[in-house]
Amino acid sequence: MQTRVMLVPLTYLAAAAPVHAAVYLTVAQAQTLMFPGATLTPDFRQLSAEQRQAVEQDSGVHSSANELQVWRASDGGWFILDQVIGKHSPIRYAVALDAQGALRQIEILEYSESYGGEVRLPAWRKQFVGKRRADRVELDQNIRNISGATLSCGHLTQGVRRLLSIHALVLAADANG
Amino acid sequence: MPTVERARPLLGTVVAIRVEGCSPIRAHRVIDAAFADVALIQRLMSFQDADSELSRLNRQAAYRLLSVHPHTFAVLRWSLAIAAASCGSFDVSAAHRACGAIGDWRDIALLGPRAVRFRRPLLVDLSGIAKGYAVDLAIAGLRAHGVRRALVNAGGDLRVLGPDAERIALRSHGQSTQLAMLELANGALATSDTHSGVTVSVMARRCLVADALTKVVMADHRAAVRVLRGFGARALRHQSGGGWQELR
Repeated sequence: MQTRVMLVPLTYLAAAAPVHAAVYLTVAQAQTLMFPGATLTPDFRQLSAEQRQAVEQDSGVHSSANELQVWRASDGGWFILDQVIGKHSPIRYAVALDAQGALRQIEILEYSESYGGEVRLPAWRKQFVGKRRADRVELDQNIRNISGATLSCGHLTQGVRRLLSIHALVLAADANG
Repeated sequence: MPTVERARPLLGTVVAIRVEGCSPIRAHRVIDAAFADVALIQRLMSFQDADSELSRLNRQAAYRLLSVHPHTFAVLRWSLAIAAASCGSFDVSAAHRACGAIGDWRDIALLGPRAVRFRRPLLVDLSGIAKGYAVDLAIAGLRAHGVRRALVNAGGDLRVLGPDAERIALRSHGQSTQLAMLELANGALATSDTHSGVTVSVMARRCLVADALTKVVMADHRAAVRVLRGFGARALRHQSGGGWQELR
């Protein structure tokens, strides 16, 4: 193990907010990964007010979103794109369901975290302009890693539960009907 | 060779795995395998999941000898080693002692290569150490697949594989007068905080050790110095409103 610790004084800010934003996969990459060899056909739709209410009742998850970004796979499965709010910022993710509606895979596509004082990166970065060379802290790039007390993925779990209800109440019903 | 990084919700948090120096196809394959390792640890050691092996232990191990998965056994063995080294300030049976259980870590008996028995009824919760173990397992798997440079980050408990230093910012609970940045190569880091405004980050070779030692430092940071030294670990402690301090 090799470690080096750098402590940079914060002269102006009451709280520092390192921002970590990551794009893990594009939609196309996620589709290839989750449905290798299959063809995906867009099947976008709008939830009606009744459907939305039924999904909310079934899943116990409230959401004001009506738009449904769904693809039907040639093997009978479904690819659904969705977004939930993490601690502060949106988490974009995709789920793959098999033809029976069972959850096959979840992949997070985009995820960003900001911490503490919710200071946006450019403002936060500006505080270090004078410090940068002396402390050898290179802040030009987005900070890739943050270690802090564990963030909960509760909203994601709820989001997935909602999508499973959507499959059961809307997608499967339409496919069979 | 491009960098491939993916993330999934696992272990109650977001687990990100980054692999460098492999073709994308190979990178995705080894990342899939690493996620499967993490998911296995979640299935075995979740406290909330009534079907996990840990829940079975909590229900039955006080009444009969149970055979467990080697991973569960390994985490229990590490838990006891760290409990012994810290005179019980790390205790996997402590969190739920108020729920009527009366024993402590000394009542966990590891017998034979995989057999576990509790001498008294216990509610063991491995959430303070299993996440670190999962990160270590994922890294070991990546290394076994020939990956030379990788990072596994389970919501801030992370490990870097390879000699190139990775830069990591530490997030403290509450206000700070400093920004803490670490450079870490071939090592692990874990961070915990409490509502009282104390944040602790521990660096160790294994993520499991780093994860568990954050709780030892949290319990008594002066007494923890000796324990940290025993495991070859370093620790930084932050108090809300102040700065970071390395424990020596």
